[in-house]
This record gives sequence, C-alpha cells and structure tokens, in this order.
Amino acid sequence: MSDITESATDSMSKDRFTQNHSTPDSSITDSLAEAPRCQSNFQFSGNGFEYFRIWIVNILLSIVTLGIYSAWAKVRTKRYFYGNTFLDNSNFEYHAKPIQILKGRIIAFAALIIVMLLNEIHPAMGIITTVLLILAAPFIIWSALRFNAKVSSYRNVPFSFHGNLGKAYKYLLILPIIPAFVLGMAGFGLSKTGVNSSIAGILVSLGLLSICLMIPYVQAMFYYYYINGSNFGQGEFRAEIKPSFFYVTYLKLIGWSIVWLIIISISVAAIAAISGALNAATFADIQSRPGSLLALGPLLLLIYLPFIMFGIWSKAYLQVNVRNYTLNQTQLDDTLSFKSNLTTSRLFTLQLVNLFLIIFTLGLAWPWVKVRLARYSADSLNVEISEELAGYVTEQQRKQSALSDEMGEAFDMDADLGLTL
Amino acid sequence: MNTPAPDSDTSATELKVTGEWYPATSSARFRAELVLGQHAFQLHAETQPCQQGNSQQLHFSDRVGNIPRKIRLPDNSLFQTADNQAIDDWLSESSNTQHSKASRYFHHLESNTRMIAFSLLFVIAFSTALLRWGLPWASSWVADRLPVAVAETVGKNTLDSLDHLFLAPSALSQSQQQKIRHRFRHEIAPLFNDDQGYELHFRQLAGQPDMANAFALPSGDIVVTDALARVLNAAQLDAVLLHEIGHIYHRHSMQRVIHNASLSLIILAALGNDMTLSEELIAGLPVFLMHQHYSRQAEHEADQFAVSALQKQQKSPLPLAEALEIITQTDGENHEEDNSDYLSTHPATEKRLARIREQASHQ
Repeated sequence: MSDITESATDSMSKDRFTQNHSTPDSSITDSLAEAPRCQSNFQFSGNGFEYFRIWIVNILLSIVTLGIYSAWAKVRTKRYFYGNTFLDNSNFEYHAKPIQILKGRIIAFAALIIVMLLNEIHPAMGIITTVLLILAAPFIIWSALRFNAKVSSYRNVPFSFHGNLGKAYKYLLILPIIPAFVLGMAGFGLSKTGVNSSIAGILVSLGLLSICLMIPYVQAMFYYYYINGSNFGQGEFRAEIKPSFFYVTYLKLIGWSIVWLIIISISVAAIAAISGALNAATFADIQSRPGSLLALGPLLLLIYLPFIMFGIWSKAYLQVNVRNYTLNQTQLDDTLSFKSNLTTSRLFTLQLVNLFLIIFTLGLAWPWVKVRLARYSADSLNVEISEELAGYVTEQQRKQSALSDEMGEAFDMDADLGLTL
Repeated sequence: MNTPAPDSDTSATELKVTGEWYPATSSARFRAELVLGQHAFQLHAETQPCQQGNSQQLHFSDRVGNIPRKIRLPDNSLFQTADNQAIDDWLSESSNTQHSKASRYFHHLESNTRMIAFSLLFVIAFSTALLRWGLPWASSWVADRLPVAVAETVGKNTLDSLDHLFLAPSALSQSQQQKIRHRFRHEIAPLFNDDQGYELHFRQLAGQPDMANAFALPSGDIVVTDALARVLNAAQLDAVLLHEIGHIYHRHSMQRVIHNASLSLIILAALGNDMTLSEELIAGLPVFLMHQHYSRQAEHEADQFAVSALQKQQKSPLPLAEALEIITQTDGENHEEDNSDYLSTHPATEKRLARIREQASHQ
C-alpha cells in the first residue's frame, strides 16, 4: 500500500505545487527497504480579492441577520484559510457545523446577559461572576482546543486533542498564581502580627512581581501541554519545550526594547529640533495656545510613528521566536518534523505595510492583510517527512461530552492548529 | 459505467472529474476519477477496486472560493477535486440532488459583482450611520439611565486626579468665593431639583493663571477658574454655570465615556482579537476624531439648556453670548479654524454665538 501511494504522490508533483524530493525517484520498486525522506513546503493558495468577496458578503449577511449569520461566516472563513493551506499537495479541512458555533454563541450571549443582570442586582455579584469566569477559563480553553482539533483534518484524517483537564487548570490557573499567593499570604500574615510592615510590603510586591516572572514558564508549559496533547489520527505530536528558551527570549526582548527606546528618544528629539528650527514662530504659537492642539497633528504623528513601529516590532519578535522554537521542536511520531524559518525583519515589514493598508483603506484591506499573513506563514514552514504520511489511521473516537463541544466555541476561542500568524 | 444509458438525458448530465481519493479512516491518497451520472456514480481510484453507488448518497461540500471540492462517499471516504466549476455545472443540471442549490448559494452571492458592490456600499453606509447616529444615540440612552451613584464615583476620582495633574488651588479671596457660591446655591442650583447635587469649586490652571474657563464633571462638580470669575460679571458667570449644569444634566461626560468604550469595542470586534499594541493606538484615532465632533454637539446642547433656563427666569440669554466671547478672547482661540465636522478643535464659536443671539432676539 505504501508504494502505491508514494507513486501517486510523485505523479502529482507536477501540479502547481513544488516539492523537493531528496531521493531522485521513489518508484514502485522502493518498498520497505528505505524510508523515503523528503522535504515539503506548506503552501497557501488563497488570494486577497477572492477572500475580500467572501468577507464583505459575510459582513453584510451578519448585519442583516442581526449576527446570526456570523456563525456561518466564521465557518466559511476558516474553511477558506484551511482549505487553501496545502502540504504535500493535500489541503487542510475545517468542518465544524455552523449550527454548533451558533449554539455556542447563543450560550455565551445568554451568559453575558445573566452576568450583567446579576451585577445590576448587587455590585458584589460582579466579584462573584469575575471569580467564576476565572475559574471557568481553563475549562473553556481546554474545550476550545478539543473542539478545534476535532473539526480540523488533513487527508480525511482528523486531528484531536487529549490533554487532560486537570493539567489545563494546573498550567493556566494554579501555577501562575502560586508564588504570588504564597508571598501575598506571608506578607499579609506579617502585617497582621505588626512586627515589620515594611518587610510585609516587600513580600506583597514580590508576589505581584512573581506573576510577571511566571509568564514565560507558564507559556512554555502551556505549549508543552498543547503540542504533546495533540494527535493526528493515531499519530502523536511530541515536543520538548524548555522554559529557559522563553526566559531568554523575554530577556532579549527587554534588551532590544532598551535599544528601541534610545532610538525613539533620539528621533523624537530630532523631530522636535528640526520642526522647531524650521518654524520657530509656529511652534511658539502652538505652545501659547494649548487649545489648538490639532495644529500639532502632523508633528504628533511623526513622534507617534517610532512608538507604533516599536509596538509592531516587539510583537513580531516574540511571535517569530516562539513560533520558530515551538514548531522546530515539534514532531509527529518519527514521521514528520517541522522547520519554521520566520524572521523578525520580514514579519515586521509585513505588519508595518499591513498597518498602513488598514489605515488608508479604513479597514477595507483587511482581507488582503489576512491573506498576506497566511501566505508568509505557510511559506516559512517546511516539513521533513521521513516516513510514509499515508499510514495514518483515524483514531478510535474517544468520548467527548456534548457540553464541552459547545462550550469550546461558546467564547469564540481561536485555538487553531497554530498554522496562522 | 455499466450499460450505456438509453436516453440521452442521463448522458448529458454525466460528468467525469479527476482528483484524489482518500479512503475512510486512513491518510492514504490515490489518484482517482469520479464519474457522476444522473442516478449513479462510479469511483475509479488508482489500483483500487471500482466503487459505485447512488448519486443521491454523495455529500458535496459547500463551495468556498476555489478550495478543493470535497465529495463524501457513502463509505465515508473522500473524493476531492480542484474542478469546482465542473461540479457546480453538474449540480445545477441534476435537479434531484439535495445539494443542488444550497451548496452553491453563498458562493453565488460571493462571486456576483453586483452583490459585492452592494455589500461594499451597504457596509460603508452602515458603519458610517452607526458611528454618526447609532452610537451617540445609544450612549446617551445608556448614560441617561445610569444611576447617579456611578456618575458620582467617576467624577470624584476625576477631580482628584485633575488636582494632581493640572489644577492649582484658587487665589480668589474667601469673600469673593462666598459671594459666587451663595448665588449658585440659592439662585441657580434650586432651579433643578433632580437628585443630582451640584457643587462649585474654584481652581487655577497650573502654570496658566490667566486661562478663563469652566468645566463640569459627571459627579455634579463644577470647576471655575479664577480668571473666569474675575473677567465675567455676575450675570455672565451665572449663564456659564447654567451651561455647565447643562453638561451634567445631559450627562455629556458619561455619554462620552460610554461612547468611547463602545467604539473601541466595535473596532476591536471588527478587526478581530489579534490586535497588536500599535493597532490599538491606531484604533484610538477614530475615537479621538469622533470625540471632537461629539464635543461640538454637547456644547450646543449645553448652550440650549442655559438659554432655556435663563428664559424661564425671564432673563436674557445674552450674557451667555458675552461670556463666550470673553472666554474665547482670553483663550486666544483663533476663529478661522476649518469647520469640517470631525476636525474642528472647538465647536465653531461663531455659530454658537449666532444661535444664542438669535434666541435672545426672539424674546
């Protein structure tokens, strides 16, 4: 069976998608002896105008149907992006039923109304509902991961997610707050005894700081949990994720931020000096009349720009590093490994152009932006296939409660395969 | 194909498409050809036994853009083809398939140029109307129904932080302050016996002691700068205070808070939840522009409030116009600002003056 499919793969490589086989011609004769090793690139074949038409009709119908169509819109959008993402000449598939998503949205909407009504009745309810929401969050995320994996497939074999719920609570709720909780309680205890209130204060602020310090660790743990809990058919994804990588990345980001801030302050000073020299009179005029602040508009925009660029850059830096690392660590059994080679400079320029596209078209360029991102995201992702991809078998259906299915979509979590940027 | 169909109808709607076939429960892939007849289908997958069955049992995926079309076979295996057009054509001719209409309907809308043009115009018109009328109306509706307690908390915190940042203690003498306060408590505030309490505060703008201005906070606190109290006479000052009460009465600041918050929410919802920090900064721009326009309307409303309050007391509204002129002069505000609705910094003072004077002449 394996040789047959391989020949099918080969004959298809003449298609519009390129494929680099390191073995020259794996024909019918190569069977069990040698596992074919090949590299394959992700491809995105959607285009901006095509998606624009889907997008604008989605908005129109969602408005006209008072939001009901939005569930259908979501499914069409997801199908468009999954369906246009190809690996080894086969595309991904999203097959959630709009009605499932609609049900989820109705539940979420009802919950929101109930929360608002409760808050209306008594202000203390606000605290209770917030606490309840925090307690429910890991469950909701866990359900969303399961739901999204289940409705995604490749080559007629669905993905699935089996991470356990307890671990979702451990990584998302308990670990992040434990140090803060311990330090906070210690500080509180000390302040009660009244022995040394300044130490108590330090402990409490250390507690708050510890939440920030936990972020990289929790992020690493969560990626570990997500990837290692994911399956393709009966095949299992594996990844060794080290928290140290996340700490180093954040530290580097801080270092780069300092460089950025220096550049920003120099450029702001330069802009101010230049415009001051150019038109000292106008500038003085502006200072004397704070009311006409808008005259400062173009100048403010110039000063604004480096900050905007910094914002885009730092987000791109994090995304690129985290995605490259997590994907490069990931493999599917011993069959398939990923090579993600996003670069910060490419993503940064891409996002900068996207931002201007959005501004100058008042948002109408959104579909092009999404397509550009999807294309870059696919182009930068390679896989090395060392064994037959054809051998994956749909896993036995495990039981999943209907409730968690619906809750998964209820809060519209966008937990997908991690292929989109 | 078993035996060639005797009637030409069936052969006319017969279609051969090539694509890939994915067996059920496995990720194997085979090149395949699907022969779709009016009543029966046949699937020839490379090196696999031929599969056939009733065309009615095939499930066609809805067409989205040009993504490969999926056709699910009764045994849960999947045939996939890039030839969307051929499938559409076949579906439109075979009236007996349950998917003939539904699977192509939305794609029809999405590929119809007139539909796209209409959608585009509709979405632009709708969002403009929403920003221009819908949102302001909804904000004022909500603001009017907000309990006084909420406004009070918001306002109290605001005055505290303003004191920290921009305001300095008043340099007016106690007797001067007392005089104005007395008039405010006994002549102005009693005119409005709603449950909103009004309170007068005297301050200087830090660093700009000559700035004549007054502003109102949602809590009912009205702040008057020393310079304003000095340059205006009693009638003019009363008119300004009435104008400020107008802001509070109409809950303009609360409206603005609600308006800004919901506008940001809408932008967030429209652009999706994956915004970067900088996109949020950009999203702030429309909020800023709307806010400018908004304040212009609010000033008009507050003017009207003051005018009708003065008229009810059989007083002339003219002092309000005088006060306005004096304030703009000391402010050094220029009057040649462009009047494009969304970009004017201050509501065009000329227009406000003209309107107040016109009402005065009607008396």
